[in-house]
Amino acid sequence: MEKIGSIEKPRLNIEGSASVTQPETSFRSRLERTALAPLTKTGKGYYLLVATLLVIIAWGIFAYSTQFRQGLIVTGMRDHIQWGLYITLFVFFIGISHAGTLISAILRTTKAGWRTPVTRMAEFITVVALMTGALFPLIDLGRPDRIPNIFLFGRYQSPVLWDFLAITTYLTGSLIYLYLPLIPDLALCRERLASNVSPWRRWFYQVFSLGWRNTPTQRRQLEGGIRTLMVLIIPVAVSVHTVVSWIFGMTLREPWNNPMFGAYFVAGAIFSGLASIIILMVILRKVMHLEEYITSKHFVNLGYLLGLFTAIMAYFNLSEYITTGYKMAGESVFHFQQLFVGPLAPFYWFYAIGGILIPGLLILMPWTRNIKGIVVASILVLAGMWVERYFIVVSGLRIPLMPYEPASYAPTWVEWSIMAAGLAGFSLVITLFIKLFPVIATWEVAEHHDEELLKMPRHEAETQVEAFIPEVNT
Amino acid sequence: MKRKLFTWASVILAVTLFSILWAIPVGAANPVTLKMQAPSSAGLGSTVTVTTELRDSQGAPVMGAKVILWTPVNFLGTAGSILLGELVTDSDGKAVFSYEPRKEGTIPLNVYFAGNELYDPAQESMELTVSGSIQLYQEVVGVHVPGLGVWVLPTILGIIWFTYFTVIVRLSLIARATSQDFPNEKGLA
Repeated sequence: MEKIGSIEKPRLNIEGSASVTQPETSFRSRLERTALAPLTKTGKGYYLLVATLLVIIAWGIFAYSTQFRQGLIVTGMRDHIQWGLYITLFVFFIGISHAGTLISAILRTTKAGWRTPVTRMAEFITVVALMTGALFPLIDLGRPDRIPNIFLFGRYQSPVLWDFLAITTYLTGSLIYLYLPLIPDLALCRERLASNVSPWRRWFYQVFSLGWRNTPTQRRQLEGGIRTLMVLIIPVAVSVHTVVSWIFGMTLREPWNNPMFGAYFVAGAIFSGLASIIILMVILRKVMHLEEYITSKHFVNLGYLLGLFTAIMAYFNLSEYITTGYKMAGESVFHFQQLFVGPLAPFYWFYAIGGILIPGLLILMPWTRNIKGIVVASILVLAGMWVERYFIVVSGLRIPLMPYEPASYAPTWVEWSIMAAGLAGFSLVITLFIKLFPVIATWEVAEHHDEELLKMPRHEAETQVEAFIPEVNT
Repeated sequence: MKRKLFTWASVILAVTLFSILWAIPVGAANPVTLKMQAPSSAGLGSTVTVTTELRDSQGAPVMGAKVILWTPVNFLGTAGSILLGELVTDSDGKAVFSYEPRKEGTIPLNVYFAGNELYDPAQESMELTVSGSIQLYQEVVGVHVPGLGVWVLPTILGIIWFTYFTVIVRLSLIARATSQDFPNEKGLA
């Protein structure tokens, strides 16, 4: 045991083995209980939620089967506006997948200790959002049987191929990055839940914990792997959304003809990713009683980051529209007209006011810089960013390239249904995840707690340990 | 008074009827002859001149008539037609199209006159055999940075995936570490 003043600091115990008899702290016991409780107890509300999500997904499958049988004619997309809700959702989901990268990798790299209770959720959002987002370009295909053509006839000069490679690489990296910090927690589940869970789950925890015993070799390998990936995953994540932006930016369309698009999309992705993690955090905090570990400090810190990105997004918007609007070259006139006063104006002004200005003010004002204020800001940001993706996609295609009337686009019930199914699928996977894995990285939270104890002055540490470890007497 | 009114009404009616009758073309549209002249074979990417000539039933050239040149196409299982050109006949009743075949094989060429109030529609077809295998598109030469090429993409991807591989190796070392330290463990360890 390490010493905190005259007090023995409880050694980090990730073994979770019954044979190991290190004294458990109250903090750690409570942490384990809180983190593992949802894995063994399931209420009626949970089943009801899963059933509701399954019904929505089934309806979406029916809608897709209609599209599959009758073709894209059942959607609102036509020859002029051939990208709509599906590509909007693709960009949206890829955007929120940046939650994991920012919260986990960047904060881990910068050694921001407060990150520990939220990293797991962030990393999982990344993986699920990527998988959901990657489905939508496939749904957008009128002839999905031609998917193999990407491999058969793909050309390395095409941003579509770059996008495919970038997303595949990011998804693989994110899966490994999610799995690595899960290993000690899977070992914890293996030891603590052996008698409370079904045989297949016992098998699952046994196999995927890789026999974790927190030996020095295992510890070294695990930390080495996490360190390697936390550095690598940041440029990979940045490349993904940059390449997504290039699909637009490298197409000859006026509003997309913007060299800033890469940076703009990456900033937007992190912006919406932050909002989604805050929303998930507040839900899980309430449902799983994580108030002790996810405190208002976490919300406020994430709120500061959200505020920073609000400013960055406002700056990008200002820079883009001032430079383009000052010149008003070519089709800019039409684009500005449709965006600011034309048919897309409600979308644009909702995004500008509801998605940037109001969230910025909510975070800026001290009296709204609390959990409620930050959650409201996050909901607005998420809605605003969805709307932004929608008008970016549609406005670019709406501009006539020849002297014909501007096309119009309105999603049909098929598109709305598939979108609902996509959101339900995203929620369902997260709902199932929280029944299989601890949603907070218990070992990282425990380590951070102990590190904080070490940093404290002696008398404070003693008070803390006494409070958390009644069995340790000074 | 009534008589005067009747007279005026009769005059207006007569003028109206006359105007309507005057506006209606007298007699049926005339048949026309549409001739087409073009080489039967050409090289891929060469320029083929297709000359059309439109004459009426008396053999007189029809001037100012719109004729189109089109060809049927099949692309990815979808059949349709492509408009290759649209011209108006000159004083000799002629319209000369320039066409550059973009694929080899036999290409049906059709010229079509849609007809008007004076003349009936007409169409003429012929086949053009195109041979050759040259590359037709020309890449725009951009800025060439010496040493920079497509190898950059697989290299970057290779580095990333190799790093993933090293992390996977670490996972196997984690599992092996248990089997060394706890030889009696069951399962993977």
